[in-house]
Amino acid sequence: MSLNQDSSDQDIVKISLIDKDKFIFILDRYKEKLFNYIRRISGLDNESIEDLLQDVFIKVYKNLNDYDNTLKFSSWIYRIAHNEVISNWRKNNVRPQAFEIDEDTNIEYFISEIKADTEVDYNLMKEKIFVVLSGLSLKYREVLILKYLEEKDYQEISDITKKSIGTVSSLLSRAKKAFRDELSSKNIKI
Amino acid sequence: MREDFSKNLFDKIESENIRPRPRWEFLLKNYFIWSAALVSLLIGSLAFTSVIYMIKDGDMDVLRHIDHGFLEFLVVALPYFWLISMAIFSFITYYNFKHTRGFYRRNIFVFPVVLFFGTIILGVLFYNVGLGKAIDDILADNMPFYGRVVNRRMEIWQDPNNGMVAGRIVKFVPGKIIITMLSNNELNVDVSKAEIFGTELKEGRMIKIIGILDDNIFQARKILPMRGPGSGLIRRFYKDRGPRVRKSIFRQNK
Repeated sequence: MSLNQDSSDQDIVKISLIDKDKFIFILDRYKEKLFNYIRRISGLDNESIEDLLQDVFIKVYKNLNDYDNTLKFSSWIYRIAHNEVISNWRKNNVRPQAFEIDEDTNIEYFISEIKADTEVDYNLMKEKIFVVLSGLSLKYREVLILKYLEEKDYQEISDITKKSIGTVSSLLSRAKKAFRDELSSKNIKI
Repeated sequence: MREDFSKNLFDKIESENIRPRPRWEFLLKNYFIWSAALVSLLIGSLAFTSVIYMIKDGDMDVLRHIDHGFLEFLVVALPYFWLISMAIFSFITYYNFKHTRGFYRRNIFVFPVVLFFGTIILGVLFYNVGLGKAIDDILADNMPFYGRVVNRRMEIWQDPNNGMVAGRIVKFVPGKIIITMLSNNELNVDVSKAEIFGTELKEGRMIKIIGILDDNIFQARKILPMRGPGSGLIRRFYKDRGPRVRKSIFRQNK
């Protein structure tokens, strides 16, 4: 089976188990996405993120045979990244800190869900969102990031965090409330 | 991100000879978790079987003969060992269920319901085929601290001052018997005014007596057969006793 940019994740996994060089397709497809995801939830510097990302991909490669076809490959690989961030946090006993929203992040979806304003300066919003999200606990921050910045659906968030859809739903609801409370406490208007 | 990220990663995979772990390792782990869950469910059910046996075949028939201290008797007689065992193994079962693949995708009530009804159904089934008695007999025959840990109600019957004694009849004359208790003490019992339920007074017969200790003579009011949980312990005691009085299984009454 030959692989190209349109090949499915499942096909790439199958071939990578036989030919490790084909693992490059997974790497190319996910390294930027996971780099951004880790940066958003961990607030680590670029060098630390790359170290963590390398551990993530090593773990993915080692555990390719454990990939469960009943869930999306992207959910599975995000779950491994999620677990690595948590375990890095526990190992170093450091709470994930502030993060930055990169320039190409689409925050319109986020804003529309949190507060449906018609006229907003999205560039200004990014900075404010950064301040507010930094003040939230990891569980709230992560679920908001997965939903509104990574644009994952409920099932994907459930698979990534290994929480039931019902739990994800109530967590997201509480996270939005916590976000609004944080806005009020910091006296920020968006 | 650095340009050489992918190259560095592949270099590391190559230099450290990293390989995907074989599929059977993951399958084995998954089977192990399921097996551990099922085994702990079975053990929890056996503990529940023992709870049923201790309560149903134990001293429930005695409760109606007790005029006072009913609550105290019930508190001491509850099979704590088995109740705690059941709770521990139920927790282990649930813990293992929680670590099975895709646990979070199932309804959160599925496993507690399976655990609850599984324990009850299996427990009743095991009880009906006689496993409750079998477990009790095996432990009573072999476990050193059975009377103090598994079946504390056996100690209740070694306290004449509290009006409850049990033992073997070693001498019988009309109106009076002498019994040897599990504490090795002999006790004179006046049975002239006693009601007898489900047994008869014969030398060698093992009985339970409810009454009052009066001037070193125990005035029996009710005499019951010795049966149910702990009978294995009693068999062991009298079988091992021999010509010399062996060390008591229980603490000596003062």
